[in-house]
Amino acid sequence: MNNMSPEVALHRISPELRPMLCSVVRDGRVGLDSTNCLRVTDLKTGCTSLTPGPCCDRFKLHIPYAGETLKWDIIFNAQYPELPPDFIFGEDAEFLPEPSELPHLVQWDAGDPECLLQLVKELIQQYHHYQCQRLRESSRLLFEYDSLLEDPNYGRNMEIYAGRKNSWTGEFSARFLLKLPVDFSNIPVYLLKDTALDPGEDVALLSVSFEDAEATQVFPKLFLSPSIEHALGDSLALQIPAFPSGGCLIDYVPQVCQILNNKVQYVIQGYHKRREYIAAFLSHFGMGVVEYDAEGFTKLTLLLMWKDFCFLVHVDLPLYFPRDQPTLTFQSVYHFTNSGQLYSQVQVSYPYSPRWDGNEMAKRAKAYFKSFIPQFQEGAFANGKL
Amino acid sequence: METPEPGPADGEERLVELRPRTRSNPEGAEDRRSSTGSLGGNSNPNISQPAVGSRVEGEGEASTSDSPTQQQPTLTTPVPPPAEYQLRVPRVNCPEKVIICLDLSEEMSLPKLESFNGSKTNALNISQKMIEMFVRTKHKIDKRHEFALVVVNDDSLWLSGFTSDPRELCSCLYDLETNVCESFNLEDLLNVIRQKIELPSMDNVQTIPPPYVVRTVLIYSRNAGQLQFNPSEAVSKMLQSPYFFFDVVYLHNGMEEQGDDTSWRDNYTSFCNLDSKGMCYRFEVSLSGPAIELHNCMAKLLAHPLQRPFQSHASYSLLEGEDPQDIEATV
Repeated sequence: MNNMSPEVALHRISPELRPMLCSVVRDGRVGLDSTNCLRVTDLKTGCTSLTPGPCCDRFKLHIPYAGETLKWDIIFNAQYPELPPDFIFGEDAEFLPEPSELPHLVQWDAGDPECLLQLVKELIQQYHHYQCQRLRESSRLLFEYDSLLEDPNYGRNMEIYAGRKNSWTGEFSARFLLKLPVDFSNIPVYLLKDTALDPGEDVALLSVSFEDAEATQVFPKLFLSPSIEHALGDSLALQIPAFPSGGCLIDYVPQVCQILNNKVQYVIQGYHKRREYIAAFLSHFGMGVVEYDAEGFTKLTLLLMWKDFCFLVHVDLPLYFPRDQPTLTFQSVYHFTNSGQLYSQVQVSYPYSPRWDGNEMAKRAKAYFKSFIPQFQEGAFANGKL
Repeated sequence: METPEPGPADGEERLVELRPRTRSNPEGAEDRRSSTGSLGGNSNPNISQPAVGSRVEGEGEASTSDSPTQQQPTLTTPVPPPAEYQLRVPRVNCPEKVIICLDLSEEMSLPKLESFNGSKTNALNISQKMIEMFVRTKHKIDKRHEFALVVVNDDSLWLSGFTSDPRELCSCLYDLETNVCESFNLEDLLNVIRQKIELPSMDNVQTIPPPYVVRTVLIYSRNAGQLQFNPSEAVSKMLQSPYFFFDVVYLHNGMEEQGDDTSWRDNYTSFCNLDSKGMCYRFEVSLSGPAIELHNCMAKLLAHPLQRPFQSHASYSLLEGEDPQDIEATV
């Protein structure tokens, strides 16, 4: 399969068709899964070999849809670039969209670079309707579809693929792809920015595969866009429950949404809690601050003095703060260990309650430092190397 | 005690923090902060030029080449920086590139410092240990920080760096020897540094955090002779960058010279006056005092230049049972 980069395709396509292909390969996202772009392969020409290039006028377009990839042939005519293209819809020989339902075909405008992309979107919509019609072969699955359709949270963000029939058993199967109505907009920005990919839209997609018409073999799977996955932690942390036997989507999908929402809230709250903690510590100890994480508020180092002796306290805020208490690492400024490392001592259990606010935590920490530092100092002089 | 409110997020515009108007000495011992701890509420925004102190007679600094706002090296009265230099870079803990400059003049090997157990030790010995503490601690706090080592004799020599591995720097640290040095060429040192660094240049200093900052920490002990410094334009530009910091630890012999000889205080003041932005840290420590003072200076120098308080405001003590002051804590 010749996987063609967009630049190569644009180079080889006939110049009159280039603007339309450009908007398809550069920014074209037609479905729910915005992390996958449209791809072009098998670029060919219908002209004679004597025609000077570039003159390609037909190609295969790969379209992500409901967890599948549709492969549609789009066939222009380089001699008549103003005409709309023909389509071959892969193996879906029975998909016959009604041309009058395709406004951008009816009003084809070869001068509009977006025209082809819009037409593809309209075709996808028709394709979706076609697939939904096929659900009628299973009353159970049709029921699933109808009940989701009624709910405005889900009904407008579905892709259904009912095309597969198990060729051995003749069993009918279908896949539902749903965009989940979870609000990610309040996730702290620093958690989202590290992905190497262009994140596109932040989205959570739930794919549910029904392997049989009676819905006894149902396999849900959650897909998160890369930046959301990164922000919420790895997928192990985001287990979704198995589809309950005899259950239905209209009950199951909200459950999954709830889990996601809780996770998002947890991450947001954790960030704000850490920020409050660091602000409170800076207020109490700010004139002795060495460094703090000004982005995610996950750590802070303070320099303290007690009777002319300097000490450092490194504070590390764990992922599940305030449920888990911060780690305090005391470090001597003068001493090393026998192996040449900095002399330090870690304290993980000191007086602490997750119910205290940041201010209270800072006050209690100060009291703890005062009580602990004399023995730390003694230990450093006894066991450390100057 | 009310809970401090979270202030503007990192990267957002901060209030301009004005240093209190004071003509205190560089240590800030006479800093007259207002009782509520608030900063600069009554400062005069019309300060445009530092007041010129009296020139010590006999100094031969040419004045013609200097612009009106450039501070003369021979000022004896340090003053707060002009208002336009008090705009602050966002308080982000970006990576630091720290250039440690170690004076190798023979004063560094005189055994006059008093160590913990009462015996005498020399400044080079203590410096080596405290530098090792410094780089290891910085590395532990943030592995992105980088370090370099420059040794200063009559000229300056870039020995190692930049490296983020503290062991690499420390491996150059312990084979050093002192020798008699004739003069101290500050311009040469700053040029050596200038050639090895590139300072970030950001469109908006106040709101966009830089990708890194550069900090020079000079540990200096020469007492003879007056500091001669006529910076080139390029060096001046470097010193004035909001992303360049020049911290100094001055180890002096504590003796006040009489007559025409320069005392260590004059040299110390000259260093202080290099700091046109008021953002740098300077310490003076006696060579015959307790070694712990020197250690403590280095500990205070651990602080990130964008997040540390003005030196005159810094306070580390745990002893007093003071109530938390009404300090603006913006994070």
